[in-house]
Amino acid sequence: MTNFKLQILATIRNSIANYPDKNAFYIDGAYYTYRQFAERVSAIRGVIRAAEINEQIWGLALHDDLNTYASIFALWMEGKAYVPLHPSWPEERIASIKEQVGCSNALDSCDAPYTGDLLDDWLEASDEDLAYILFTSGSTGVPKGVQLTRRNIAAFMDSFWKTGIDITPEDRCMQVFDLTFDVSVQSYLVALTRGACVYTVPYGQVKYLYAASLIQEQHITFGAMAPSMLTYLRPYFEEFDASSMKVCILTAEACPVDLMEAWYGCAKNTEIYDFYGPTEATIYCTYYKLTRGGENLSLNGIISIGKPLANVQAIIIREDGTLVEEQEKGELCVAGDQVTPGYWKNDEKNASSFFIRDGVRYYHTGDLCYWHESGNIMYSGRIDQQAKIQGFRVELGEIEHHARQFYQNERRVIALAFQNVQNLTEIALFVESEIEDPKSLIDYLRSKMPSYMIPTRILYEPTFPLNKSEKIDRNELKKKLQ
Amino acid sequence: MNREEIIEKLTPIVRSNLQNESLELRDDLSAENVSTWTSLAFMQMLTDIENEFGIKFKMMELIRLRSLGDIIQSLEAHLANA
Repeated sequence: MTNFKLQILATIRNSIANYPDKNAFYIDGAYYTYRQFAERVSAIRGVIRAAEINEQIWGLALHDDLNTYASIFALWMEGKAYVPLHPSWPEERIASIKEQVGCSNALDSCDAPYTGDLLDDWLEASDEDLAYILFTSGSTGVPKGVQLTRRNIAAFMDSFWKTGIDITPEDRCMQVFDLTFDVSVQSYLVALTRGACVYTVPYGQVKYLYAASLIQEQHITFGAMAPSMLTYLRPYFEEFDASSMKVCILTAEACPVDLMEAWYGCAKNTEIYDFYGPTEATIYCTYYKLTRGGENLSLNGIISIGKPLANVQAIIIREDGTLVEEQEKGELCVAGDQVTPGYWKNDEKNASSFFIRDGVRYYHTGDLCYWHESGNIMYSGRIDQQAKIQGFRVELGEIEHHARQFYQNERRVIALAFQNVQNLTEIALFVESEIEDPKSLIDYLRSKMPSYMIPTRILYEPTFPLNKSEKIDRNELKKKLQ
Repeated sequence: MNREEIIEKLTPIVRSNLQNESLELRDDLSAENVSTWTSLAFMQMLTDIENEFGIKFKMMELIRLRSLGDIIQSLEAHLANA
């Protein structure tokens, strides 16, 4: 049985007790020891207590600083949960999230002075209580909140260690992900529960370059990255020395086999893993360990997503809900202690996204997959209009919604994801109209959505092509992008 | 090529990659203050710069290119050594 208090809070408390003078974080060029981290946790815990506010969920303004990381643990020790709020998001999006969650408080790089140790006597909380809520793109134009409980996180960490990956206090672990994105949780928890050091990428940096400099100059030994980061770095692989890396996880996007083969050339001592998982199943739910110089299972050049983690059950179903045969494509559905209790106050979405089968509650991932004869899962694409941009989930419907609002519903718009010449995913927005200056449209979209959701190409078509069933022909539009 | 000539050649590349046709080039422009300065835009901008100026950046050089001022300085060094 997993237990958040024992497996997460107590292990980090042990790291603080056992390695007070070891480095816990490297942030923007400065090291911070476990003692310094513990002092910030204590100070912020004092602030939360003194506030005497009976709200379970607190906003957390995200900064790349020690106080932001310490705030997460201070909130957890107080039995509370956090909802990340990114300062670069449009104000309207932040306001919508705060209103949905009903939280009036936010910790914003809280720098209250340290007045004494407050690391023990954790508030009693059930493992069914929330640990965080992550808001992801919603096709109706309103971001949807995925609730993750303490049990979800404890089950995830238990699954993670059962993959055989080991981290020691000597490891240097990279944390390149935005804290709005759940792989960040894996990145800091894996390090802090083992007394290792977390190396972060400051906001406002070009991520893939900063990550490369951390790997090469700080001799990173463990890190998770999105494959697109390596695609950016690929032209420089010949001069890139990543031989310090013992383990590298590729996640958040489909993982191309040829990119991995090239990456082995720089990551000479590295074990590479492809991890897959939606936020709704807590960070990762399946994984595949690649073999250097060997045959790696792939479909259309994309590495297999492998087998379910220890605390995950996976099935693949047809549209009618029956199980597929081997090699037959269907929708991947997952169950187990890592699966979210549901979306925040969203009955409609909860009814359509989860179902009970033989007494087990499953989540519809929306991913089209099939079972390989080896028992591994092969990934074949999405069954809906969701795209991944540098690992971030983007509902194309949300972009279309805001674009239609801009035109006051008087024009038709279609958002499409496409692969550019570098094999990176971009978003194009087609507008049914004569050509015009897109600046005011782009400005409007920027006021509504985070920057990764803004289309990189806006194209105008006087009339949209229609297919045989008189619907807008997305395939014809896509051809115009080639 | 002097700094003014570099900036003149650089202006259309930077404006088109950062999707802002009226952007005034300043040394302090960077991912921190230009919202369209994304990983993708930066990579495409570098490719365009390499093609336009006929140079090739090394990865360790790119790591130090945090702002437009850094890019201009690096270009000056490349062109001086050409």
